Amino acid sequence: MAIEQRKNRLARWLLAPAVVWLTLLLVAPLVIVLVVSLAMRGPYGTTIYHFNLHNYLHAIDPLYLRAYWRTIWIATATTLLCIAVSYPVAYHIALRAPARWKRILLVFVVIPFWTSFVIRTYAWKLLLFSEGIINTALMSSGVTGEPLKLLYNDFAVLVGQVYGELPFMILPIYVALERLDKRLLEAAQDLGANRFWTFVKVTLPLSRPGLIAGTVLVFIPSLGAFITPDLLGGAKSIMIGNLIQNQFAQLNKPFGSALSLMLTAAVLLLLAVALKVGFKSRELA
Amino acid sequence: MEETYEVEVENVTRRFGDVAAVNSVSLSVRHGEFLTLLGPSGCGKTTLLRMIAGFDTPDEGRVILGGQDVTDVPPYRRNVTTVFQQYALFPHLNVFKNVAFGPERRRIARDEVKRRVRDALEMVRLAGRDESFPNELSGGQQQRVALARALVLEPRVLLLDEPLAALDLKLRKEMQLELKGLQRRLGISFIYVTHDQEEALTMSDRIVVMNAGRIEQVGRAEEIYERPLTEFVAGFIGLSNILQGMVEAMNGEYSMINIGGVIVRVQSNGAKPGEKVKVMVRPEKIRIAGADSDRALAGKIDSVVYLGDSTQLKVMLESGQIITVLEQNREPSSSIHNRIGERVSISWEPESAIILRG
Repeated sequence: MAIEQRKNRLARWLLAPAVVWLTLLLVAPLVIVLVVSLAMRGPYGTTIYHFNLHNYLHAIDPLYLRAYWRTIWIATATTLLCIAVSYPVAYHIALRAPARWKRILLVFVVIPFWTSFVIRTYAWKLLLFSEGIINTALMSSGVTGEPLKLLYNDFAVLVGQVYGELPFMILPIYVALERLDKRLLEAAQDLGANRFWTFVKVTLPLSRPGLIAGTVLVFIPSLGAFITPDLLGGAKSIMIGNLIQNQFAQLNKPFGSALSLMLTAAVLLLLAVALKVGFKSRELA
Repeated sequence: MEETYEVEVENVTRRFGDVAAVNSVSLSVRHGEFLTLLGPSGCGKTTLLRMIAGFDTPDEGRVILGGQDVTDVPPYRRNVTTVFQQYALFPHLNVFKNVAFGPERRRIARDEVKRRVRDALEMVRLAGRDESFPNELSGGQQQRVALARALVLEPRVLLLDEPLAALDLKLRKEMQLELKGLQRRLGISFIYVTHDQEEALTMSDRIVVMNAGRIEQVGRAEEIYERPLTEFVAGFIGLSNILQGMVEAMNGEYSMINIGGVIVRVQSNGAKPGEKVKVMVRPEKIRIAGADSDRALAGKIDSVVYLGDSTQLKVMLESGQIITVLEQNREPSSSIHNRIGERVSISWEPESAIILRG
């Protein structure tokens, strides 16, 4: 009994740092944002604490629908493209590459993290702009006569986003495939499934946890992306992230807060759906 | 007319790096035969099985199934199926779908698939668990699903890779009988890999004893046990005593062997007089008598272990070698431990001793 109590007390102390940290840095800011979102904008960027739902009603103004729509399609396209690019890479590293190559290839996947995302996005600018490496190469080899418009459009945003999020898709899929019991693949072949059917019926379904984790890790940050559209997108390529950033830059904190909370709510909803769809409890013990 | 075999393995070699896991092995499996590949771990038995299944390709030699060379044919086009060690059931599919996996890959109507799966599950006495997932089943039940999944395709040959290794002893005994019964009823060939000599002896029509990538001996259970060809086989299956001796003379089907100065009569294997040989005798074939018997090896009882139905004695010969003797306890005995230190002589029937090769 005494030991139990002591254990409980110890557990509480061990939890304390996490509780303090989360309270100060997650719960408190959320409460502040919630309060501000219900307030009104005053002159010169001040906030008038006269509570109403004005900001939320303002957020569903058709003016902003285009940004929401662009956000959803860019995030969706980013996720799908990431899956398309990542799956073969993860598959190769997990199931095909010789053991000594695995670690090296994984390091290559992670190397981009050594440089700040902003700097890497600027690097894309140098690649994509009209006198950039790609256009220069295309023109000198005579593929095109004049530079292609690669920068400041949705294409550029998509390129930047897919590039930035790729590791977050490769790694979870890799983990799922790495954990896959290789004998299951042999069993499928033994039962008459060729390589294609083995992939469709065994490899793919068993890598689903990785696909879902990757989708969550890519889609959700993509919803809130603002660096890529800001640097690579044109004036029209505005996403929710830019919208929110603009509000704070223009000192309209209440409206920015309302937009932030709506985005957070949407993300939580999506996460809940993903968890429910993604992990059937029975088969994954 | 030449008999056609279900499986023929011709001079197959498979190397991993510098090591030949399977070293020029040849083997034929008859129709409806229960053949066991027996050997210690690392002897190449599983590698051999994998090459028959098609998961591995020989570096040299050929694999022939039903008269057709399938050496380079992928596993999904071979008419053999496998029961894997640890079963390798698909964790994301329920029992029904696991068993239906094979039939669904062939162009079979859905009703027919359903009927076959039901039959297969009934055959392994697992009806009514269609909806369960593998992780909800016990080891024995998973084993049955694995069997049903492999048998539903009506293969000509079923390959089994240590299928009972993960089960507890009692269940293992039950499954041994059940597997054997199933094999007889279906009349198909089983190639069964195990390192468990008892399993091999109870189930097999023929046993292939393997060691270090090579076949040591092929034969029926009693041949392997009673007439082992090599010291390895004698030592791997059952208990054995091996004595060094020299051939003194040959006398028809018997050889006279000098073991430590005593001449014993042993079945001949063609070894010439003057040759050094190893003589093997099973412990239960040895008789113990009082000291000073003629033509018997003299020694002293070193230890006695009471085993219930039998008693195991260790007799130290004058040469210092320890011989194990197993005596049936036909009569109630009381004071067995008093026998330690007793001077005895041991002997056996000439037919009971074997001259080992090499």
